Amino acid sequence: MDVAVVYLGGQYNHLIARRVRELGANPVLLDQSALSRASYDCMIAGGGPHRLPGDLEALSMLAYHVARISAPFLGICLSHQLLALVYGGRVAASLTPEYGGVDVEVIEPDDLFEGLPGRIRVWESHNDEVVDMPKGFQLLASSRTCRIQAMKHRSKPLYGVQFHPEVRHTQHGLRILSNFLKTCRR
Amino acid sequence: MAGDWLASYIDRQVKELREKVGREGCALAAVSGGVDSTTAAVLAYKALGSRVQAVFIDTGFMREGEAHRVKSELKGILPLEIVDYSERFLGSLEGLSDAEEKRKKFRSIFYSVLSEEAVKRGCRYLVQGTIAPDIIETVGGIKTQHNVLAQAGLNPLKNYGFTVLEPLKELYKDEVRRVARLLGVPDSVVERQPFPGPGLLIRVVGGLSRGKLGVARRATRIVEEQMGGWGASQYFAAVWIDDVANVGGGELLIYRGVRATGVRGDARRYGPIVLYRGGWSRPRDLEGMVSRLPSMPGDPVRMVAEIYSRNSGKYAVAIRAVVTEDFMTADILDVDRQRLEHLALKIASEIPEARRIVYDVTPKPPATIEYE
Repeated sequence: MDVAVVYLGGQYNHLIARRVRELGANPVLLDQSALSRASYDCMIAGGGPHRLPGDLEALSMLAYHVARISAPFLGICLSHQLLALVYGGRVAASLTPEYGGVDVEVIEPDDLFEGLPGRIRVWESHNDEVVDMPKGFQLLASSRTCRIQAMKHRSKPLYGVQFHPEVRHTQHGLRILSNFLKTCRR
Repeated sequence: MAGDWLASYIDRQVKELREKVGREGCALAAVSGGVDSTTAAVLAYKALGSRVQAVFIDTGFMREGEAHRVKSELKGILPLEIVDYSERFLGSLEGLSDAEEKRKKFRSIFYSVLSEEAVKRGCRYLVQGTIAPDIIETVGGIKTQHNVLAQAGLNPLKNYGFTVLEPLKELYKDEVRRVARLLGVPDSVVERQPFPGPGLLIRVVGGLSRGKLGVARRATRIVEEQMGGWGASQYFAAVWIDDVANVGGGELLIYRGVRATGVRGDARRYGPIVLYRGGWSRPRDLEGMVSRLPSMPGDPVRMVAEIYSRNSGKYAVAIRAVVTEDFMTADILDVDRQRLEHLALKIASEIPEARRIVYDVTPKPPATIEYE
């Protein structure tokens, strides 16, 4: 199974590829400009230094693909925010930016949080966040300082998480990624 | 499965090293004694045999007795020559205080020295222990790692006359440790906590002087001797001038004239350090306060909590201890204040120049592990 891992200049983008490899799939790390030529079974896009909505232009190629993708897609951090913007949600600077360890409440375990406890400690690094979820999306998890920590589309395999499941300090992070990869195998 | 991938990774690298260097070529290997550079050199030695010439550059920013400890540890595994360039490094870096300026100057001297050593030996290749986080942090503009050239847009062949070989550049620290074990690198090297390439240079926070460097060296020895079994993945001391100002009264103060490196939302931050002088019994108690750092005056990047202070001396000595596997994210080591007080008293009694001893309570992110 080929998993496109989109490189956006984030600190943990390369780690996503490592985790995908550890889960037995084949990661293909690529720039957003290479997406139109790539073939893949599903896509994970990570974080990056860009700010949304201001830097949308710099992410336009990824946005183009996210708007049309039929394969399962997981957006992490910046790409979670991009997913929300593309589908009509709103992104703004966080009132309380989160860095390091934060407790997150799982609201809906399907599909990403399947088999996880109701409360997990995750690792964060964001200045902006999704403030209004797009229509057709469902809230999956929240923290005290950031409501939309995770969301999924109600009918399409589109997922977004604000925190970083790919870093070791996120509890059950590997399980979350593995749950996502399961949707790719369906 | 991960083990298989690493074994085949090693085979691929050995093959690639042989293809690149060819039958005649010679490769210089820069070895600091840390797990990354040692493993890269041992891997190259496995591939190329005596055509690899390993050197330990004494930069003057090493810990006490480091050069000879490394040489004797690698006896029988990797022949190593120590070359002393400490005066050149110290002379050029003294007085610099900006973190990136220090790092970039260090990098430039480091490669000039390696270039001279390579020319002397007729080597046209350089083997170095660059790993994935070095490249990610440098390219991401978080901090300039001293061992990243090509990916930072510097052409090594044109600037220094050698082609760089980085057999570990796809790996993280925990993977390098597994590779090291597979290659028979001694446990003492495999398990060693990381020590940055620029060494104590970046643990002397702000302006570099020989006196401050001496304090950092002594404090590092004490912290390393005492904290060995405490469960931290990395633990060390850093030193800066203890000059604090009040920020609206209360228990929070801000360090004047000192900045430290941080990472927030995948971007670099270089900002002030906050000192907390209130009560605490465990570092974890201060987590809520650390999460409010961005809303504090001056937008500080990290917070340290006072363990001990007195009215003599001029330096703050910070104890930094983190728990991490791959060093991309890190949690603070949560430990009883009482234990830290014992350690602080030991530092205070051995280092009269220390005015205040503090414990860093900031995870990565928003701080980085090192201060600069």
